[in-house]
Amino acid sequence: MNVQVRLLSLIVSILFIAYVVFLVRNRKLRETDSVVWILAGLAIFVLGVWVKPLIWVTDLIGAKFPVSTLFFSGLIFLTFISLWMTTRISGLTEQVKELAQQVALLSGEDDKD
Amino acid sequence: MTADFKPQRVVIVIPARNEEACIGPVLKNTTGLYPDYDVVVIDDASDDGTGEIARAAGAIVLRAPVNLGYGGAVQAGFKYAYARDYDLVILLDADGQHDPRYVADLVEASLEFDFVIGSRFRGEAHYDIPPVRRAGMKVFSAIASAITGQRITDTSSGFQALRREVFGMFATTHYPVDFPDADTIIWIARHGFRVGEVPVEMHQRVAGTSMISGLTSSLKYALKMPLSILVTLLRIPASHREEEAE
Repeated sequence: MNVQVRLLSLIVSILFIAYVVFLVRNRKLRETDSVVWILAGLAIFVLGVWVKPLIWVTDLIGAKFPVSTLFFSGLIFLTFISLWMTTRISGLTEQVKELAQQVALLSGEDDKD
Repeated sequence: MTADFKPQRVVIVIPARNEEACIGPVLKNTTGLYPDYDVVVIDDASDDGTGEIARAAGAIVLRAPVNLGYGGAVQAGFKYAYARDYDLVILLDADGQHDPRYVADLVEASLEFDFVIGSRFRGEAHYDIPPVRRAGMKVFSAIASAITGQRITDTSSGFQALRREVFGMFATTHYPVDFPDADTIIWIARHGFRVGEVPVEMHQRVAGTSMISGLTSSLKYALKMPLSILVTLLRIPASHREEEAE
């Protein structure tokens, strides 16, 4: 990987981590939910400084360029993140339904007896 | 199981969303015919006067603050019936499609079955259904019949009777939020409950719009149901029935 790409990934990862910390500080993002993003930011940072593991994986999977490996792993990561987000939404939808049903049941208390 | 089962406490559960034009006459007919049965209307976040009309007509009204969807509203009714120790739930549509005269037939059949479907295809059908939807209904009924090993003709009928063991299971575990159909019937049958059908007459709806109308929701129905049936077959039934019997 050339110097420009490494420099770019270092800058982007630092800005990214800073933004995540900013969101947590302003309570827009919960600490627990921020962990995965901080880890992702750190991973990009580490790979920008220390390229050996990236080159090793690139050889292992038979990719031509380390950058392709980076893109490929990024895509897989995002796919899993969005699947996980969808399960969170399913969970929240279930909770909202449960709450709405409980409110409905309470609203009927006055009608009977 | 129990030949001597006699429902003592029957509740008619009517999910309703924006049905102010229909709910009044439906309740009048129902309470006129069955003064001994309690009637619960689940007002699914209606924007119109559905809840007020139902309350004025003497029904118990459960008002959902946000839209639950058909299945969510029905499940709220099951939860109510379960908490209040009812023996039998009769599910009835608010739009006047289900003739309350047949409630008696459903109650009668519940002496023999744990779950009873009021089928519009068992008797003489005077019911006009678009051919594509009719084909869909036929397919899912055939699938349900094949899997449960008994003849089921109307999986999409919302005119049902459920004994406590059955609605209790749905009150305490899972019930589909959108349109319960063949998947739910298969789930019931897989728990060893006896499923029966009685012929009923259904009318064309007087006002308002059907749940499954338009191309998008028809497509959604056609795609979701096979998936839902598949998932139902993959799930492992709990031994809920034994627990209830103890």
